[in-house]
Amino acid sequence: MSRSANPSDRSGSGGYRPSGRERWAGAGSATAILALLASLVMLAPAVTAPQAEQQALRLFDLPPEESAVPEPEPKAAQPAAQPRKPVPPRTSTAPSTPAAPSPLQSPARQAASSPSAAPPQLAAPSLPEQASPQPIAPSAPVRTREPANVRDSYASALWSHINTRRPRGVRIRGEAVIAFTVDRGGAVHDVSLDRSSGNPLLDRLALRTVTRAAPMPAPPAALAGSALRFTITVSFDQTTNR
Amino acid sequence: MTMFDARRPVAALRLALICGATLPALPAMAQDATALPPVEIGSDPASAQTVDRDTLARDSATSSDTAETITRIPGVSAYGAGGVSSLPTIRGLDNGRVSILVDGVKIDEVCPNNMNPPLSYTDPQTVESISVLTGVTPVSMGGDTIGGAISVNTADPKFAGPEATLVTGRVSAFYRSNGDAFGGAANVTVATDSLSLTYDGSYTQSDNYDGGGDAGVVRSTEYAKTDHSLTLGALTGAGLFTLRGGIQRAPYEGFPNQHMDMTDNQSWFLNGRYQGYFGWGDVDFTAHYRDTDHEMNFLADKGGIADGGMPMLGEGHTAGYRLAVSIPVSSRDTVRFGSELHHQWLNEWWPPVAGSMMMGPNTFININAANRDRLGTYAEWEAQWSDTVKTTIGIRNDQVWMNTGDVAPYGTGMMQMADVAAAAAFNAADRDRHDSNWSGSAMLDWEAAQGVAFELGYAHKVRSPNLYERYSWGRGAMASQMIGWFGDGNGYVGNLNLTSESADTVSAAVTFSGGVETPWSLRISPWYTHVDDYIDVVKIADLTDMMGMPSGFVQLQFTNGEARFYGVDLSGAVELLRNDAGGHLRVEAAASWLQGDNLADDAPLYHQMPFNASLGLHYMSGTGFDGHVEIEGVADKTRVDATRNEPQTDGYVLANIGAGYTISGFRIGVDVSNLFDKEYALPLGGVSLGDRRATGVLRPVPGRGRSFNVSLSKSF
Repeated sequence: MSRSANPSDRSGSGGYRPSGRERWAGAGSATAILALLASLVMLAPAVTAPQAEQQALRLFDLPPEESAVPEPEPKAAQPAAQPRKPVPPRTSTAPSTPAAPSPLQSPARQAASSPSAAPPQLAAPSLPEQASPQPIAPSAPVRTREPANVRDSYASALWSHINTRRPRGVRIRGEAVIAFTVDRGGAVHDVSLDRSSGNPLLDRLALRTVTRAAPMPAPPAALAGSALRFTITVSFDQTTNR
Repeated sequence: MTMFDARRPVAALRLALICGATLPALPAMAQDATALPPVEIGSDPASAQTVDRDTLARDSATSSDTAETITRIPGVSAYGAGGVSSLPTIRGLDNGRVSILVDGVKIDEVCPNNMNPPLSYTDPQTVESISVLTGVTPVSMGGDTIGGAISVNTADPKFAGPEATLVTGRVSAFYRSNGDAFGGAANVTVATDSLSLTYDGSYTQSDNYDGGGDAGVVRSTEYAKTDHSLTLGALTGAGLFTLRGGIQRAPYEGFPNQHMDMTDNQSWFLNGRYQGYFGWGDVDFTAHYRDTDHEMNFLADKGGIADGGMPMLGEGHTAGYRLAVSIPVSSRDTVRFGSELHHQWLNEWWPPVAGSMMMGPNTFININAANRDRLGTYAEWEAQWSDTVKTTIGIRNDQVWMNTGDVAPYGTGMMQMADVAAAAAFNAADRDRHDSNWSGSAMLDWEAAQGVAFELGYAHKVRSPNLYERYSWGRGAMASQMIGWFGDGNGYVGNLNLTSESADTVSAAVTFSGGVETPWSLRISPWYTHVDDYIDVVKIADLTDMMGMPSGFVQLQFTNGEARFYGVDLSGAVELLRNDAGGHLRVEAAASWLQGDNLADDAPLYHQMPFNASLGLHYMSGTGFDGHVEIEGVADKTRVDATRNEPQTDGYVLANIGAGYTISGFRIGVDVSNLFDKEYALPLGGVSLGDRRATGVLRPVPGRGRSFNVSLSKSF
């Protein structure tokens, strides 16, 4: 049995066919638009703005190896395995659902026992006794007089503030680390790319994740004397693609 | 307040110089830096439910129908159709009323039976992810629809790290015992840090499947199709450019619930997309074109084409663009606006059959160079009032212009009189239509407390009739029975006087979550939709066969009515165990109940899914082994649409079981679907016209019987 219909069915129908002009008008216009896009691609290397921007930012990059004090090492904090969501990915709701407990109340025990748990859980910035490799740097001598839990709870509030205002991804995986300073009023300064994702698009989105969240919540008075410098890892599509 | 402005190189330079002068002070600052926990950024809408690649990979061994893979989401079901062409419905609203985008592009039907719907151009073997919004859809996610939204993502470009070359991909193959179905797919990406080329291809075919128990073979369920595409991505200083082109060929696909089968479908497309992300905001622009040639006739179960059969040919073009701009105005506000043009062009004609009194001597012109052009414009404001409260409010207008040329019946013989008169009336009528449709949406997200989140949404959405609803004109029994995507065998007649239908939807959801040792979540979502001018049907005649005897089918005409839908969706999950190797044992459950009422005749609406629920146990060892057991149950369907002679169906419970093992990128999976070979009728499967010729009995289309499925894949 011949499954495809006889090709002559198409042409043998009394010549009733769409006109060639109709047929190609759409194709032509689409091609023209695509050609325009393609020419933009060709021209694009000349547009070096983002590179310049990065270079400028890198001027005050702070290489971690220069740190005298054990700096929070982002790589250690990255789960080697796929970060998993606590809720099934099978038809799971997107990451913003409250399924992941906020870092404030995240159990230290869980964080310690399963280092590959979902980062927002793992990364509980509170609870000084926690064994997690993440994420609060040991207090530098300069701020020994300030209560650690004040700083940690402010860090938690800051994370929550940035996290709720995070942008949508672009279906490309990657990870960038952004450093920034928060002043007494909550304004953000010295936003820099601490570690590039290797993708200028993601780097820019990561920078914007911080800049667009400004102004941040004003730090509590107890922290007023210290320079509030933070780093944050912005992780793109680690759980959604493949 | 001042803020360092990362987008202005001059400012950056100035700041850098200042900082440079005080460089010795910097190490002290570095010591002070506190690392915040990572922020995880996803690409799917926050309130969407997503079926990810791993799930799709497993499901592709069981089904080649992308629409079927999303029916596990509560509130989503599908009209049965061809083996790769089910028509998804969300919360009672069918395929044409929900937004379905493949890589951000709407794909138009080129068939009076909707045999080549958007998801038939995708294959679960190659799809990356599918996200589904069942509740209120923001206006930025599309116009000209009144229901939820389905968004399929295929090959997203991947890039290598700096100075590196990336070669990655996967190949896979499967076999299903029921229907001797098999298929394979390949996905290969070669990329540098700025250029990426991906090939994506799949093939799948199946013979007729056997129904469960004593249902026997279900005729006209065979199919074959292949899809191939190339994606070129370029990452530049100006943004991400993606150019994607592809072809599809489906040489045959049986439709058990249609009078016709698809005997060929060929389609090619070219999409270009630009995504730019700047300090001030985002730009996302897509231009797209698709050309489709479609043929229907009879496959062997319906008599074949030895005597000429009944060829029905269609050709369609789609061209358009989508532009979306998103501007973060402050830490609280984001403004989005967009513009969208969608041009649809359609020709459909039925060549004469030599020697046939009915189907000759001329070409039957069903749709003559019809166009449906839509220009959509929207603005949306999203406000993050605090860390726990967010609102999104949008307004949208869609201008829709439709027109079509003169039509013609097969001839002027005695048997063609109904069509002769209908064509004359149609050609004399003014067919130029213009609709201006205003839509709006408002959503509130509120995280009331730790582990308790509320979503509340309201939308007013408007959809213009499609080309077939307005411009199908044939009044003869046979001509009208060639129209319709309802799988009921009835005849459908268009209506030039149709107006747009407008829906008002309220949807709420509350999600509870918690647990330390055993993380759990529960989501409860009640919803209500009222549709003014709902496009349904009224009966205009009982149909007769060629001998003048009643055929049991009716002739229906599209008309504006009024409808109401309401229901509740539930889903939950508990993680019972978790081990250090990343393994876990999880229970998942979902349930969905809804009711659809036709308020014009106070009767049930057609094809509303009865109460259904599922329970699954999923295990991953973390060392390569995975396994699952699933039970799904569907209640009796007793609320049926008498106007269309919709059959009732009995409730049923199915069990599926499967296991897989993964080692160094290889995965072998074995599963059994419908483990106990339960005999059942698909609640939304329509009537089995494919079987009637052989058996003389018109039964509801039976569901698939037991199938042993094996799949193999290798990622690299």
